[in-house]
Amino acid sequence: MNNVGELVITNAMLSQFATSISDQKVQDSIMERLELLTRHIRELQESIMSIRMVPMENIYSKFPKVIRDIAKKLNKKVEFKHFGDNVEIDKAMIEGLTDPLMHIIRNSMDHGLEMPEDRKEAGKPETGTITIAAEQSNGQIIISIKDDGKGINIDTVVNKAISKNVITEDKLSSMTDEDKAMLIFEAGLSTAEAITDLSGRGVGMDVVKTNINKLGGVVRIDTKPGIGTTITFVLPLTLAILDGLDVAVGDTRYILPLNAIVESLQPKQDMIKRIGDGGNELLMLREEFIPIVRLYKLFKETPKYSELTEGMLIVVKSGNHKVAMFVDEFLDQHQVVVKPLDKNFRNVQGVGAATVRGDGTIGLILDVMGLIEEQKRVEEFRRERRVA
Amino acid sequence: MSKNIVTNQLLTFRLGNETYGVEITKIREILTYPKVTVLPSIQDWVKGVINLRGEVTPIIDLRMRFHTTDAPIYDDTTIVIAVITKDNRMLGIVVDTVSNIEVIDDTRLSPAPEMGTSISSEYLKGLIQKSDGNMIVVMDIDRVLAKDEMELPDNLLKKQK
Repeated sequence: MNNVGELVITNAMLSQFATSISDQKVQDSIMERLELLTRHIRELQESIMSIRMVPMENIYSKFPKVIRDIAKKLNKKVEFKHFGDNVEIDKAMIEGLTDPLMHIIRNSMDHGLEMPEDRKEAGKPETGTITIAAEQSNGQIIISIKDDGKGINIDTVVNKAISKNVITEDKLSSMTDEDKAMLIFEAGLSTAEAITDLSGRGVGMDVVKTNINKLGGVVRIDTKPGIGTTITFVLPLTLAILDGLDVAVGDTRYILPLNAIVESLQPKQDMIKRIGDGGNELLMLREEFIPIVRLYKLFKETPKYSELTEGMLIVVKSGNHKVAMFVDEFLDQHQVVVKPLDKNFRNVQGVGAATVRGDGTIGLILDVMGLIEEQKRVEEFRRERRVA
Repeated sequence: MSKNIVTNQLLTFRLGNETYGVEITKIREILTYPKVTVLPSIQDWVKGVINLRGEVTPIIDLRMRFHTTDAPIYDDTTIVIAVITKDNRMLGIVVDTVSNIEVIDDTRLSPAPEMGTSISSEYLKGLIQKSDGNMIVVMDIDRVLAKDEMELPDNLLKKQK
């Protein structure tokens, strides 16, 4: 796969070089053949991808035994169902995916499913069900783990979160139920009253989230009291190559993953709303308010435009959060080979990975989720300073 | 961790007023200062990343890391040494000048003193006195470029100084 990656880069180099040929006729014919090469590389990439892909079955096969063991230990009756056995997933992702899935299952069995007698009382079948389903859509893999247990008690989670200082009360008022349920993925939160060897230590769920984020995915949760909880992982199809959009911020060009982009626009003055002392800017887009992130501020660049109406806003999405990133302009779109930064160095906030550009230099791929978090931190810092 | 040297050849370079040495087996190549992609919100001694043989390689300026120069110059005479650490990571280090390759007698390696060196002794393997009387400070490059070192925030290092 890496070799194909190199091939993609070399091809990009050639294409870039070809555009600089002054003789129009020569350039045209070279471009035409390069076009062909590009197509072949894409085909090669696809067939290699298909070799790398393994069915979800491989992951599923580990679970029945684990579930049986845990069920015995907890004295619960559990039925395990799985769907999408043939959905294929990048081999490299399996490693990072097995542990989080296992953890969620363990959690669902320990906290989610009730004891057989309680279930009977609640009018449910004695045997609880855990369902894992995998599907592929829009270039993403969606894996959901569903249990028909008692659901997450949001109030307990919230109280715990407040007592552990994970969130503040005024922040709570602006949170949806899903946001509140997502608190179980914060570090140091466990609502289990007793610590068992299965769960309750408050570590684990945050690791699940971190691991999934590391794979470039997001975690979602949907819980209904008495009916059950569904936890969903949305993951990219592959880790090795992604489609990116070049955006210019000052003198630097960053790459924005195409799958994170919702839309882009040049804002008009009346679409921009300021609240408070004007420090926070919002983009009003069809009845929706989206916070604006000025990338040059986060990256300490000198922008070409500092007036929002002169540059471009790109609305990006990560999980449930949307932000509008302010950039000078956007350039072309191309495939990039993802090279992790932490292989030789370490992770950098706001940068998901790097890639080698056509001209041999390094391009930085933006980490949308990281940027949203970074922006939140900046805003919080500003708020705290204002209070102090 | 043993602080032994595995080879008797050192690549020596100048950093401030001292001559330092790194085992030659650690060196991948020597290049002039390339076009560097700057990383956002990063320590000032990390200059950014470059593409070195298809690898995303960070550039660490040892001159700033150990405060031997306050206003370093980057031009086409600036030298980057690409180093492979023992956990197989490739990093580039910036030094003042690359001097020489020295064949040394590793039995003459004496431990680094706790004081009197401009770099804390935890980053050193020891000192070697050459036959001409000059001294080479042998740097523990694995320690300097260790993964947890990369996480060190800027200000902490400044305080250490």
